[in-house]
Amino acid sequence: MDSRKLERILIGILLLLNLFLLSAVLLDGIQDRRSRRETAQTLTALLEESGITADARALTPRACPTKYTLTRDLASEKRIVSKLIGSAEAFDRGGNIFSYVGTKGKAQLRGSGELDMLLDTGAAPVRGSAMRTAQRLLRRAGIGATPVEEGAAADAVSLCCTCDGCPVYNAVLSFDFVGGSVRMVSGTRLFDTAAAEDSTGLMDSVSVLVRFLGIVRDEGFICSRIESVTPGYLQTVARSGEAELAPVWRIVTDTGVLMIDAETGKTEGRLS
Amino acid sequence: MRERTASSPDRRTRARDWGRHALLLLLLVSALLLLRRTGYLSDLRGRLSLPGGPAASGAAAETPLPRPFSALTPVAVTVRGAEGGGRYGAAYDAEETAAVFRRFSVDLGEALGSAGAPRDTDEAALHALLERSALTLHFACPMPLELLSGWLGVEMSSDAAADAPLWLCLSASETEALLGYRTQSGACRVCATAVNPESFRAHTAEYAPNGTLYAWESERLPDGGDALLLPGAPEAAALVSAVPLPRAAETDAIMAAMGMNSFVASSYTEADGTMVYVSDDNTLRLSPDGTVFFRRTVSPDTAADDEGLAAAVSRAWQAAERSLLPMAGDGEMRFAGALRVQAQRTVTIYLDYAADGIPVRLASGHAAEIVLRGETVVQARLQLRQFTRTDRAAQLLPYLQAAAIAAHAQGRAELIYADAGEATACMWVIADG
Repeated sequence: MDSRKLERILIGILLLLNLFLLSAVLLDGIQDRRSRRETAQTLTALLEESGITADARALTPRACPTKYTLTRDLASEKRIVSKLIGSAEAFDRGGNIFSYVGTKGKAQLRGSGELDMLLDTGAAPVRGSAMRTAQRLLRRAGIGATPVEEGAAADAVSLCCTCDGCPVYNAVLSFDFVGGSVRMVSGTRLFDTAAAEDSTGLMDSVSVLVRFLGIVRDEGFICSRIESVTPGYLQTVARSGEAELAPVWRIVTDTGVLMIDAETGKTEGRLS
Repeated sequence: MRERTASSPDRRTRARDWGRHALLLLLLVSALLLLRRTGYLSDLRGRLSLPGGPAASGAAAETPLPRPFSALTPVAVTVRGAEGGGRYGAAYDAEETAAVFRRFSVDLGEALGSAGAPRDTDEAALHALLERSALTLHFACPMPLELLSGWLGVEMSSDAAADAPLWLCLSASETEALLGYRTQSGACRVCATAVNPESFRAHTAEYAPNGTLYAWESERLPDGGDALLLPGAPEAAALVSAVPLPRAAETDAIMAAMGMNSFVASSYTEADGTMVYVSDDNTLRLSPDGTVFFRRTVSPDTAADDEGLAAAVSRAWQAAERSLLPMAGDGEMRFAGALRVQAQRTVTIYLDYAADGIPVRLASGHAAEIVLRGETVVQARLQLRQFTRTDRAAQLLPYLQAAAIAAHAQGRAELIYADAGEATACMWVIADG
């Protein structure tokens, strides 16, 4: 057969295939939107029965983040530290406590994830705002982080480390500024190597709202409005250099913040 | 002119061909992207069991050796939040003591790993440590610090690694954190550590006092030494024990745990009812009283370096987990001791049963005695037992009375389940020291 004729046939087949797949994608999208709308309506009705209203974005179904096991990798750690304090030499103090001395400062990192860093004056000068400077430093070191508080002070800011874009609420790094540059960094970081764990059966945002209603009913948590439902993590260090990242849902209400473990459904911390 | 007109159709043809090829490529790429978007591709991959995802690799991941916290959980713990404050204590309660052990596992690991050279001190100095923010752990058997540190994921380079205390404490002031313990011979030792005292004190402050005292700080039993006095009496359920009869699958599991191939093993029954399984150089004897003997006639000539006590305990634990624990019912297992024989290049690991954090003492010895040479089990003696918790509560003396009786006998009070094969009773016993 003439190769041009063959090509025309192939183009015809691919055109049909593309049309079929495009229609499947559009249909999926329509069904997904319909399902989200129905879920939002059902959740709104359930919440209203308990006298609670909710922001529309809080009712958008979201999947639960993946559970991870984190392990410390000393080679990666040295690379990260070197990006912050200059080319660093490591000293083992025993007990998985390592001190680093670099050209622009020194640091101490522990098997619990705790980090203490002292930078030389002028090693990391403020450019723009304090928060932007801190974010830039962490970005340079390959550490994902999100600000803890908006409108932080000019001489101290805190950022929450992130995993897959979700904040790890108890992995917070604080930056102290003196004389227009970063002087101290302290807090808890995430370990270097992540291995995904089986995350089937973890609660998505819809299930966690149903669980929230159970908490309101059984534990007497009082609120009248849900502002947001966001996924995140809590880090637990069981052994030196090994940690688990457990997915949690952070529910912000008009009376306080509730964190619900996505695996057990237990409240992890309550602010009233 | 003719050449020019002859080349134009060629150029147009070539252009059409290029256009067709480009359209073909575009449609192909578009189809693949749409296929991925619909999820049909992952379905197909799943059905064909093709490797996928960024983490795929050719070699199978090695299963790490087990290191469950439960193996080394202390029988009692105390936490003091602040100087002059009261003490929180928990004893013979698997859940509470395990929770405290886990909470402080990283601090303890740091302390052991960064411990300096031990220096001898006296009892008064050790008691002074317990007056500050402090964590104390009491173990059922002498706990080799080399094992404890390895289990917690740190290497211990201090000479203290050779010691095996029955209890140890981690104590912090505002400026320093110290590790203190009493050795089996009664010597009191203290080591400096690099634990962050501020962080440790914050952890100890999480525990509210519950009226726990040491005898030496109580008015009612000042001569009671280090006896732990919790309010009231311990709570323990009555336990029933029996010798389980292993089914075929459980016998196969015991053989597999010892490294025997049950598919090629031949078996016979002796006159007293003992089942004997033989495979290559391995012999396994299963007696009607629940005792299992295993022996490997030809031991591996392992020239490998000693992996350390933690690795040996992990391997023994793995063997016991596969052989004893499935039939143990409400029973758990605990580390009960280790013995190195350098001449034979072996290490014997002893494991005992426990129920709800209370050690079980069998009349016939340890629940498991597993002899290892390198990675291989060369000999083992196991005691099969099945424990069932009942709804009845055991009647026990309060901590104070038990400690007073033990002090009078110049010993220390221990709570155990005494298993004599046919009857199991929860009772206070007096141990030496």
